[in-house]
Amino acid sequence: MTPLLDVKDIRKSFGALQAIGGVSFTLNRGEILGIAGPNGSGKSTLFNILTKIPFPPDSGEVSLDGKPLKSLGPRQIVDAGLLRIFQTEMDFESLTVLENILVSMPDKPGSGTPSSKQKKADELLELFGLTAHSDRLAGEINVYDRKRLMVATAFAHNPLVLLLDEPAAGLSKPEIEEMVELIRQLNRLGVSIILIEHIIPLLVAVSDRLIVLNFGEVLAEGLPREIVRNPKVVEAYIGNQSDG
Amino acid sequence: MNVTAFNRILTVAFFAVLFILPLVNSDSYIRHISIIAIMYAVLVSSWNVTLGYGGVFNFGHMAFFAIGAYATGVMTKTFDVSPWWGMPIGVVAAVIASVIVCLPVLRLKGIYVILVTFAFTQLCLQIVLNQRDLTGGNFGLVSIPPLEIGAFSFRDFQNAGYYYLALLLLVVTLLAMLWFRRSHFGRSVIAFRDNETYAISRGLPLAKVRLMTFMFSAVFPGAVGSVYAQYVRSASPDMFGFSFLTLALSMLLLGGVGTIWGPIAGAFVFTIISELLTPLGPGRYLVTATLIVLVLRFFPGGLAGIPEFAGQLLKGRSGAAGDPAMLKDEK
Ligand SMILES: Nc1ncnc2c1ncn2[C@@H]1O[C@H](COP(=O)(O)OP(=O)(O)O)[C@@H](O)[C@H]1O
Ligand SMILES: [Mg+2]
Repeated sequence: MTPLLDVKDIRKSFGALQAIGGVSFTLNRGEILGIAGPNGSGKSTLFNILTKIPFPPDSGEVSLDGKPLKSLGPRQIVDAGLLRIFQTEMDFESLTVLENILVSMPDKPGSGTPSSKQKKADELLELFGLTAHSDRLAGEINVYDRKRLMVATAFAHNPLVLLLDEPAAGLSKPEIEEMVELIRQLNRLGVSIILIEHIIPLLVAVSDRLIVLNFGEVLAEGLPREIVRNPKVVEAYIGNQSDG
Repeated sequence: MNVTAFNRILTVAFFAVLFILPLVNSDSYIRHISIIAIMYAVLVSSWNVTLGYGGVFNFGHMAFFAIGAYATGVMTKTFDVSPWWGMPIGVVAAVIASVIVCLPVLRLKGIYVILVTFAFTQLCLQIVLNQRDLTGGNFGLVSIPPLEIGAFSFRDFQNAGYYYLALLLLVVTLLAMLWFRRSHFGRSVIAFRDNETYAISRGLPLAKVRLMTFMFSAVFPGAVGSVYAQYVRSASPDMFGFSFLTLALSMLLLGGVGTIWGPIAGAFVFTIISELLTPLGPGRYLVTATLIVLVLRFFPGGLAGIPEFAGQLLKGRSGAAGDPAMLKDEK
């Protein structure tokens, strides 16, 4: 069976700095793939170039569900089912929480009547625990709710693959636990997930497989519990910390 | 009584007063000022689509008005088309102009949009001045045929016909704005203003939305430009001018960008105040400028922010209200 997402040898440099240098991996259907790596190792850049938001890779091949993404623009990639959240919270601050979801739903002929969309939006609010905030402006809700809203708007666009960039950053312990449960629930609903996370125990707990990036290259790949004991990985983290 | 019910009553009362006004008052000066205020309300409300909701600094909006007026004038006067075709002609001309000015700014931001759209206005002005045979050049286009139904001219009864036509345009504009704010289209426009990258990441089409925003917003100045030309029976190069543009901009800022009622309130309040201050001569500009600064100092959201501010006072909270969001992502 072909993998859902197939990434082959993608690269991205900023001037002399090689942010992503020849990264290859696959994501299988129904899988949660964790991506770890020290600060500045290229994790967010990987999401940027996969989605071409805001820039495409310098070279390499990416295909989603057997379809090459090379000739597609950022918006076509979104419509093909590759949806991301950003590391820093983003929202449409002067729209309500409900409107944030409605505006993110596909708007093609045949994508539903206004009332069916409204119904689906209400279900999403429920699923993401945002019903109580439905009519509040997105700019006025707290960080945790905005993070959930950002995932909800991605989910509203019917993703095949969700790219989550540090969804638990800045959250309290109970909030992190809820976020983990939410990620598992989305996965059970049939969405495959790539999860970037700084909090290693979280990553180990939810991922089926783990990739560790260092200086824009894959340092290690495998089962989560084995990866965290890998001496190379331990050294990359500790070495990075002592550099500051 | 909740806010929505209160708003509805206020809206009905506002239009009821405007509807009854000509029946109880036939003073020609008041009639003229009312027509002008209503037309400004249409112009400023529709400018609010690009500038307020869209956060796109389109300084070509008044050119759409002028183009509507000239297109109507030229076609109905020089080419003898029926004046009843005036408004459709004005609308089509303005929408075509909006496409032309939008194409170069499809993906531009901030100051560059101002530059291109203002240059477009100046270009239109130059064309009007050069094509003297068609447009009357410097002197303007005069003797534009008025609207008539049989023996009834829209100028009869102190321009009652034009008054009610303008009022009808304002009602249509308001309904269009209410639809816009609730539609997927309107939400997409606001989404791009709030966060362009995020909007693209949720599958929204930037170029298409921006083009539609320009076209939609141009319908109203096109229509009102046409009626204005038929009302004063002329079109003049001043309509492309900077002072006209800044006047309308003042109304928009005073009233409150990105709100439904702000632009309408701004247009009426500003027109009335300017008229009251006419005895001061040029000094009135100083007074109005001071007024704008004061209003915006205490209500950054403009006049539209005052009810919300009052509501907050009642709830015992302090702080200025309003939504100055449009200035945010264009810094
Ligand atoms: N737009 C950019 N321009 C220049 N350098 C960038 C840009 N984005 C990221 N980088 C650099 O690329 C490297 C990887 O960054 P990033 O992908 O954000 O790391 P991570 O998400 O793993 O912390 C860093 O050195 C960062 O400074
Ligand atoms: Mg990052």
